[in-house]
Amino acid sequence: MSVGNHFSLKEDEPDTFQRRTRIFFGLTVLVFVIFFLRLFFLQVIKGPYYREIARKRTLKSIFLSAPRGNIFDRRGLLLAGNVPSFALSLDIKVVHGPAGDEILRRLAKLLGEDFPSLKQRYLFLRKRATTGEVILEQDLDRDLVAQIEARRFYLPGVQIKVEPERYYPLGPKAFHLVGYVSRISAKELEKLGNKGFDASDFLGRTGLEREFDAVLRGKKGRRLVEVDARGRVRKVVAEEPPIIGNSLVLTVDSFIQQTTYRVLGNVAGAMVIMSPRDGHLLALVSRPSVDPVYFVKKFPPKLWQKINRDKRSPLMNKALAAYPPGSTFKVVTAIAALTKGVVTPETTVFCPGYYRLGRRLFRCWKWGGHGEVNLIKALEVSCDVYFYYLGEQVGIDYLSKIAHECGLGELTGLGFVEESPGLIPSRAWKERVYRRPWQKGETLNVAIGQGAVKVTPLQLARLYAAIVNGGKLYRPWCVARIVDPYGQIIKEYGPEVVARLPIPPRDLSFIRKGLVAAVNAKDGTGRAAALKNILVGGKTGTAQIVSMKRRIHSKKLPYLKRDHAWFVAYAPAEAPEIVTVVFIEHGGHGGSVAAPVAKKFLKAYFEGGK
Amino acid sequence: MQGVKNLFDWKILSIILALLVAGGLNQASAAMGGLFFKRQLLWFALGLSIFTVLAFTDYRKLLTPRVLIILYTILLLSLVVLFLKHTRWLRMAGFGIQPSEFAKLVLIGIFSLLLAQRKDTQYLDLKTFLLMSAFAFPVIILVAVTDLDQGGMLFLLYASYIVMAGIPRRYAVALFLVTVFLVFIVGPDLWNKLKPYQRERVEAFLNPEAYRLSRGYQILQALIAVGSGGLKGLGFHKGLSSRLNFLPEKHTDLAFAVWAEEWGFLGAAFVLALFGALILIILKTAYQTRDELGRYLCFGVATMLFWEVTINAGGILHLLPVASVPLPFLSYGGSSVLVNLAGLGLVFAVSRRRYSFR
Repeated sequence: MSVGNHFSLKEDEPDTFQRRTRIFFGLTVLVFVIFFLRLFFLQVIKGPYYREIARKRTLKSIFLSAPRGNIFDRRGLLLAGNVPSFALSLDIKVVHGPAGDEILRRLAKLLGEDFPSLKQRYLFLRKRATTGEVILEQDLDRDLVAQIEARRFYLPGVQIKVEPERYYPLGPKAFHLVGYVSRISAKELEKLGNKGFDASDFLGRTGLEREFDAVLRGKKGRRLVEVDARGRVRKVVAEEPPIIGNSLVLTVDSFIQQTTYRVLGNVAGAMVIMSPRDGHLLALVSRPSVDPVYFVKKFPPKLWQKINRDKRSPLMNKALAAYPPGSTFKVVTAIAALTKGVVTPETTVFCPGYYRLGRRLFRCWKWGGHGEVNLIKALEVSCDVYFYYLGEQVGIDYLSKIAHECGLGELTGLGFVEESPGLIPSRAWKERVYRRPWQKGETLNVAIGQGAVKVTPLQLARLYAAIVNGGKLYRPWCVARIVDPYGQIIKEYGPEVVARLPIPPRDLSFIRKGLVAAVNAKDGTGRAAALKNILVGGKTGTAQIVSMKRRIHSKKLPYLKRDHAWFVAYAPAEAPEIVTVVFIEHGGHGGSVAAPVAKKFLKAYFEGGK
Repeated sequence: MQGVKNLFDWKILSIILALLVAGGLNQASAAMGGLFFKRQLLWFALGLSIFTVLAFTDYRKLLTPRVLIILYTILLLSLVVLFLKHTRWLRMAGFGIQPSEFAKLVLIGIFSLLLAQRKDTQYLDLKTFLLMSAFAFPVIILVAVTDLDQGGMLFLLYASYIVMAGIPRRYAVALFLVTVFLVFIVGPDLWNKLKPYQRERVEAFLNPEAYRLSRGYQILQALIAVGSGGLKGLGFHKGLSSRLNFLPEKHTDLAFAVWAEEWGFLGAAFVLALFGALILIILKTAYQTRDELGRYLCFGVATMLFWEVTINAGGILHLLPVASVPLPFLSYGGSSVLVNLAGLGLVFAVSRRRYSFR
């Protein structure tokens, strides 16, 4: 099989080289056939799959945050708004390498931070950056902003970004009413992530911010962009601008709100100021309070610790929390007795200082008793025995039914999630909770607002407003209207009569007389609330926390065992303009602690700054 | 034989021209018509002139032992310089030259000459084998130090020549046994001794998702680019992967992915068909050539093209681990263009005289 001796063009027997070439030829054909099949599989069969991956990889949707709507008081003064907040943004494409180090060094000087730690922080954030920028610092102060802007030329890739930030001009004074917003948490983001929320979002947590979160929030815009492999935006494919949130205009008056906050003083307690004419709120205060700005920015850890440990619960809205009402509840017992007809306003009951039920004695708060009392006198002096008698006569079933008709034990319809419905005990309730039958003596306790009864200051305000306005039980409301960013009214709210008190107007007038007497008569318990020129009506309340054989002065008790002090007032008595409920937790005696607060408020309200 | 006129192989020439057009278009897109595109055109022009010169020269007068020894010495010297500098490129007037590419051509020349001169055409004799190895291994090792992939490439070329030269059956069996021993007995031990990044390359090939941010990234992005091309492709300049920089090394190693994305199955299959046809035509030329030197030259160039295409396209199509080997003409690379066109020039010269000598 030598090759060398063939010159001929004719095909001979193939030599070794040629045979091996044939094998290589075959192998080549085989490899290329595999390539074609693979190419066909990848491109034609799996083509749509890969095209989808490619599309997802390159298209990114960016949310454009919508500024939150404002909250105005009735005068148009701001209660919650937005202020620009300045953030320091660095372009990761520019701040890079030795030139980037130089920029960071200059920045470190301006920020007063040392260069290595700043660079470390920057590199850390840079690794996580998705949008081609790093937010190095948030909430810069204006001086720093000015300094950076002035050196802009020497700081390429450094930008001051302006973002709206929630701002509450009244701070702690309207904290519980307006509520607050705070940044979405990781857990919530997991739940809400698919509803268009992202990590930069704030959620309304309490008060109006929460109740009207959807209204205030507005609608986020969206920008569909094409990004490259480094996540840099190359092209805007589509854009949907954000819609600014709508604003709220309240019935609340920020001057009255501030006055209320001031007169309540540094106590644990709440005040509700309501118009009896249509049930709108003029102020709603709970103390102690917190400045909501810390929720938007950041709590100093020490302050947060202090707030959490404070047994006076600063975060709780006490105007919407339920407490035993004490004697302020006696009007309900009166209404029940009058409607059932067990007494007339003129009926008298003798008070020897105690009331005998079977073998038990129920004491009146006054040692020695009040003697003969009728309805008006009983309200004036807050005689317990009179109401023990009424309670026993009407029975717990009827009393609890009337209490519910007076709007107690039920949500008022204000709409805040913080609101408690309170508690009106009944036979069924006791069976369910304690699995024991109702005792007659308990009815007597309920009749004077002790025992298990719990009402909120707001419920009381509404009830007294109804007593004062002839029996109309309104839904308490504080939002007058929703307006869009241009001031166009979107929705208007008005008074809503939820129910009517089940008592004829004539009988109501007797109760009112009793309330006026309680403030103005010689023996009235609420004399501390009386004003010179304006006739005030009201009712004191002192709710015992622990039962005692003898009354001990509250100040001698440990704080948490002291009585709750209540005072409900309205004025002017002839044509009432406002109802105010003062509640001071563990404050002591209603007539001596709460009534002066109500007086201070009424004085400020009617006489202005005098 | 004197009576036979010189042949002009239109087929080879037209395939080369078609591939150059495809390569130009691809660089125009991958490099966005920038510097690399212009430079590639420059390399094409330079390569074509080398091709022309070689095509119309008598390769037997060119590839003499003396010339090859000189070329080999220059190659070895430059490789040593690179080794000392620890780089792959010789910088010359702003252009980088990759001696490892030229090594292919020099070795092809040496192997062909050695095999053409041997007495026994059936099997490889020891003397030729040792000579081939003596020339090959210094180059392979020096290249592999800075560029493992090119070193492997040269080894494949060497191995192909050895196989072609003919290994006696008992050696073949022995070699097979040694390979089995290495893979199954020493293999695991050796595997553990490999550097992490070397192991990662194979592991990433087996499971690119797990290495999506390191080695696997290239594989996945290449697959996405190729796959999203579909039947007709996204169109010239419209490839998302390349335009948005998702493809790393898009104008060199992954140039074929850019091409497949923009021109689809039709375009990619067309280019592969051109390569296949080119290799087969060259093998056929080798088959027809009576001259020993000529047929081994053709075989060498065909093998070189075969391995280049197989390793590059195989990596992109996820049939083989990704290796940094340029695809002839479609990838940017001056040395690659020049070497491939020079090789094809030699083939063309052989083809013109395939019936003429001896």
